Amino acid sequence: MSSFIQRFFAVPGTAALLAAAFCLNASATDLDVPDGPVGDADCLLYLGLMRGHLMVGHELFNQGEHDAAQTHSKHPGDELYAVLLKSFEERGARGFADELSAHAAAVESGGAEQVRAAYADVMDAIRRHEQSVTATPALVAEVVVGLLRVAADEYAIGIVDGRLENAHEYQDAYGFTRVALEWAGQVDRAAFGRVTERLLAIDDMWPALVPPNRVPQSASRLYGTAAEVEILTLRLAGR
Amino acid sequence: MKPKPSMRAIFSAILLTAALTAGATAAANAADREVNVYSYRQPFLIEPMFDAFTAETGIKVNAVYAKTGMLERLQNEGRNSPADLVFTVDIGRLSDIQNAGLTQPVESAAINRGIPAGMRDPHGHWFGLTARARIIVTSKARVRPGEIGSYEDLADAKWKGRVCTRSGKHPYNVALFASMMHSHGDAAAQEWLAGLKSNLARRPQGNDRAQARAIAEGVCDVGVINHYYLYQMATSDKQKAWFEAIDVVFPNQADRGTHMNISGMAMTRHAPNPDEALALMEFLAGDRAQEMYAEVNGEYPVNPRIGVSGYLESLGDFKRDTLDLARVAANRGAASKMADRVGYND
Repeated sequence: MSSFIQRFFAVPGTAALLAAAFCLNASATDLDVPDGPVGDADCLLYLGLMRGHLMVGHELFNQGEHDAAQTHSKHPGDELYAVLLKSFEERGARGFADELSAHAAAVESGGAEQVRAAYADVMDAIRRHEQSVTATPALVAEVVVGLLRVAADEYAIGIVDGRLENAHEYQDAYGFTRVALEWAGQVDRAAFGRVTERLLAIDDMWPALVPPNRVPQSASRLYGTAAEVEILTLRLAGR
Repeated sequence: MKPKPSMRAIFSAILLTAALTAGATAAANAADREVNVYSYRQPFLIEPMFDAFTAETGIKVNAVYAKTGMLERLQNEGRNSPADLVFTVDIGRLSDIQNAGLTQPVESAAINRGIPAGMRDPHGHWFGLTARARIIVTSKARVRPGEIGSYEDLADAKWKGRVCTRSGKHPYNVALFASMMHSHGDAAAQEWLAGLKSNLARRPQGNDRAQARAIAEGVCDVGVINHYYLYQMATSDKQKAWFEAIDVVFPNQADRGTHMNISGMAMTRHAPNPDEALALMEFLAGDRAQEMYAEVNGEYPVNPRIGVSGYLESLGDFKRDTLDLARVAANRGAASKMADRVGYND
């Protein structure tokens, strides 16, 4: 089975990020809808979570797992988009609700070409929104740690005592970790080389995107990796 | 013709080369050595000691600071945690981490020389580094000096409607209540706590300094705080007025002494760098770091060889309750339930 983590390198790399800042305050990991706009790191975190969901959904669709793909395609809109809505409104920025809806509809209809196009559109829309915040190494570190911690929470639900309990959460964890790896790969290697190594080292936590009934792994590896990344990046400027 | 070097010279050259190589290797090794710390303590209270340790040993200290959730974090990370040491305030938080099975015992004569038996776990799972006195503060304007002298006095009916405290479920108060249970037994301690509750001027609220503020604003006449807040208030433009409105009482000088709590450290169960962690622990228990603790954060060093100066000296000497803090820790659960039974926070 080829490494799922390494396959992402084959995906066209994301363009350098720019975008309009529309961020202000919230909790990074409890995912409650904040009262107001969210801050830079949380903004990138939520956008990263959305991309993670969509990435996983797209891979599942390509594997013929259409039901699972539909579930994942709906999550960004159902669970996460509302967090950023107030930020979009505050700044007068155009959100991407239309692209999310179009993608979800495409996945439901099952047309491969339609899905491919809608997926490209929604990911481009998200990436445009990610461009804003000057992505300093310190900020990227915060986002990577945040993604890994959410991934760990999901994995802890998905795999319990080595048994598959919830495939969807297991897959979410994979998607969020991939996004974290992507972020790490975009930062100067001198600062993030060891971070990337740590993330590649946990590749074996996902033996397959559609998991077997037994996965002899523990979420503690993800929690521990998040903590290691936090420590590795402690001395980045601004932290 | 050049003279041939003597065997002594050759041997000396070999030794010198070996020494230089070892030094360079040690330096290179020291540069690679690190210890990872999770801390509830704020950076400014502990980083000076970490910096001094690194300067002395070359071992890098990686410190992660948190306000909450350390126990859960360690549980989640399990054997994959990079944490070597945890630093917290209050005996309660230290014992919680121990009781969760997240610490490992440490045996060190060097640490034990610096930290009295009553301020460390008997099995080496946690060690106090600094001590804080739970003092009574009174209104200069409305309370005569000597009018209140003990924790037991707080329940005297003469103080009805005149006492302010923070939450009865806060670890600092729970530890005090636990010490009262040890001193008086459960029934008498509960009676005392019910009396204190009936004397409260308002529902328990705010932090320790908020009690001093309440006294300054005339809400109440008596409060209970940790001693180091005195200095913080005295040196704050905004809070100086609160400090100036209060007198300080070190309770129970006539009998067992003032209740003491600790900030402390523990080695984590799965510490990946145990040698480096032990080195830091021994440094922090040693004379130099203990002197720094007193200077930097105004807390009393636990190391009995270290005297105090400056503001701590100005507070004067006082009798400390020498109750073994492991006993306080053991009573905490019961103390918290006692606070519930009397409806302390209601």
